[in-house]
Amino acid sequence: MPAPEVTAPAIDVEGLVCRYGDTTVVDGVSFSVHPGELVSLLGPNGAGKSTTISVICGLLAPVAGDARILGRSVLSDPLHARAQLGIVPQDLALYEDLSARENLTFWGRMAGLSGRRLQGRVDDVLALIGLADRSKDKVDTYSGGMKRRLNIGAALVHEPRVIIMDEPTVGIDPQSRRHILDSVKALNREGQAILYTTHHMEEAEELSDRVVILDHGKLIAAGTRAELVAQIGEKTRLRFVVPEARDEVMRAWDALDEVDSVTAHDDEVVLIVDDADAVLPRAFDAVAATCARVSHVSIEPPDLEAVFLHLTGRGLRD
Amino acid sequence: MGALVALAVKDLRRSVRSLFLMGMAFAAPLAICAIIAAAFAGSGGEDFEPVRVALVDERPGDDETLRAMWEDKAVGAVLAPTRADTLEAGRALLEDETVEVVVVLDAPEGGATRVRLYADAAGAVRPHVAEAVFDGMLDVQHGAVVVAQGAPPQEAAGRVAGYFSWLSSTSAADVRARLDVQPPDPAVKSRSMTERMKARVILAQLVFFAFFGAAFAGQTLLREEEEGTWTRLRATAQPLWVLLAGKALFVAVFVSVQTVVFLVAAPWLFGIDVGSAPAMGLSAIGLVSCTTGLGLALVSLIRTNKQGGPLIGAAMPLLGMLGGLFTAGVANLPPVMEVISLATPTGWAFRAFDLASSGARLVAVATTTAVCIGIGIGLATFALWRFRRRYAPIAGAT
Ligand SMILES: Nc1ncnc2c1ncn2[C@@H]1O[C@H](COP(=O)(O)OP(=O)(O)OP(=O)(O)O)[C@@H](O)[C@H]1O
Ligand SMILES: [Mg+2]
Repeated sequence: MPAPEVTAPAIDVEGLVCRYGDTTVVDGVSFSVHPGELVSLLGPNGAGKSTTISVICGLLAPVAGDARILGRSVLSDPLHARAQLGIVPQDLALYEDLSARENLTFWGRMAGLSGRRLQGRVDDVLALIGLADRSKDKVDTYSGGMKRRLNIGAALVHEPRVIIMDEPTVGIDPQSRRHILDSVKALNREGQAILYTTHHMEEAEELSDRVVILDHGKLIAAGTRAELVAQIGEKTRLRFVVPEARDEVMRAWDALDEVDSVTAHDDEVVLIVDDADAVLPRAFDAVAATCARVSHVSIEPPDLEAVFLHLTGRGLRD
Repeated sequence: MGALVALAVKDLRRSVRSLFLMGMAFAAPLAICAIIAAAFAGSGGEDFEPVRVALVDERPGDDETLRAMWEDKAVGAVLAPTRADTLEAGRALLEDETVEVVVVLDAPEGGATRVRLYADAAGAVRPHVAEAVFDGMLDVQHGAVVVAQGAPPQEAAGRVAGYFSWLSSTSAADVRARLDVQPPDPAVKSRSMTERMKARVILAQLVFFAFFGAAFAGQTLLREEEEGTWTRLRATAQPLWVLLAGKALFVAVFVSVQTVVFLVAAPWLFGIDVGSAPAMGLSAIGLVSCTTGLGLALVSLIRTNKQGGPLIGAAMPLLGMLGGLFTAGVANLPPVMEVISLATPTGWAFRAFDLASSGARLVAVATTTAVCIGIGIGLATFALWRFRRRYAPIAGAT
């Protein structure tokens, strides 16, 4: 096998199609992550993010398409492809009856490390994930956030050139989340290519060079934040909290000419508009004409949430 | 190689921290064998202590022949006799536990001799030993009378003497043999039936728990699936066969440790003779092969630990039963049972130990071990085939 060229993308996914039974859950997805780049894979629950990652890890055979890690195909050269890869699975995958150090040492050995280099790397990773002082304790005595951090650490021991993180911050406290986001940025600064999966658009905005948005198994947009936001122009979102008579006032707002779209989630209603200053007074006139009550309003500049809303007509967390 | 060892070491480390696995693998079999050994201890054997007997002879006259037999060495191995003049005196001896049995001989109205026993522990075996011996002695006496009957006086003494010398060459030895009281000869290891039985029953427990141990050790694979670590392992750069070989290595080492601990502990804990070291070594290799193969094969048939409990809980006792592990102490099994047992891995694994502990030739043990290894390889191959279908969506990764 010829040595792959140095400039090959860190991750290159091409025309991926995946099915579970008769359901197509990934439908012709193509994107790439370049060396040193941090790309967020953004999408609501069930969009097909984890499925895409399963193919990249060699856990699932696609119906069509391929994925390459630094030029090596995960289908025809899986072991070499995976050797370059550090994977943080969405669900915790740790030995709870072993200590953090024992876990990291084990995963390091699985990646072919040994001796002093292994011990050195384990120490480095323990410091990076902030668990050095608890390294001898069994994992089942850890908090959720600590386990999450160790789950990430286990993917880093062998200094992979490409890292894939599948929702590494689900269900944890803000402090651990901050720690994780900072470590991810630090890793990226060191030059590692990272594919970061999330359904939090704030995380994607904060971390990524580029964003790939999946919905219902299809890639619906990809690009830098600026490129994506440009797709929806200079539109602004008006977010109202309407505890009473929400549907009634929504119909009134929808009838306004200046309003592009109206979407709702619980008692929250979002209007996408060109000119907030012009729309706001008329929007409140509409409220006054109904028996609705508004308890909160905010004016939000264009962001990824708006992009997703614009492309799908739904919020990311709907 | 490093990954293979790391996989097994990780599992061993986790097992040592699992109270359940440790208890099931080591504590349970040793505890059960202790109970078995205690049960056997009650049934005597080499260290049979002669029954202490007080004899009260209430028959008229002095019985020469009875005294002669009474002082015979063969009887002495079974009975430790004293005399008491009256029943009251005998009872007093019984009371202060100087004797265990008082035997009263009388001849109501001058007829045949009658034996009566007085003993404390109703239902115990030891008083009946005394009873049996006395019955035997009286039979012998009666025989002498029959032999002498009708003979002219000058011949009668010769006939009786001949009768006695014939008897002493047969019956005395017979009494001892039946009671397993042959003194042990360190040069030739002839062991009593009881001792053989005990060794068999205890070794059968070893085999049974080794199979259980392997199945539970194999189930750690399903546990890893549930923990997500198995998926994570599959996403490493290790080929599937290394992951599976690592699991197999762990199961094999686990059962090996279990077996060695048992074989070292059993002789001095339970006083059984496990046979020569080479024969035991071969049997252990056979056991480890069979158990590892079966453990992996069973796990390859199930998806979750939830299914695993009932399957293993049903399969292991069934295989144990068919393999003859629970009937190891039964002396006269129908031959069909042996045929059935040799259709099971449990039966073959046990057969090796049975041969080894009964002092069979090494070749016989080695042949059985070879069959066990074959069974192990067959089962492991089946498991590998199942696992590959389950875990290798992408062909190049195995
Ligand atoms: N093993 C499976 N068998 C059948 N369907 C599955 C399986 N795994 C996932 N799916 C389905 O595939 C679709 C995509 O799932 P996937 O886990 O890739 O989504 P996701 O984008 O990672 O979502 P989340 O944000 O919830 O993790 C979902 O509809 C899911 O129900
Ligand atoms: Mg997911």
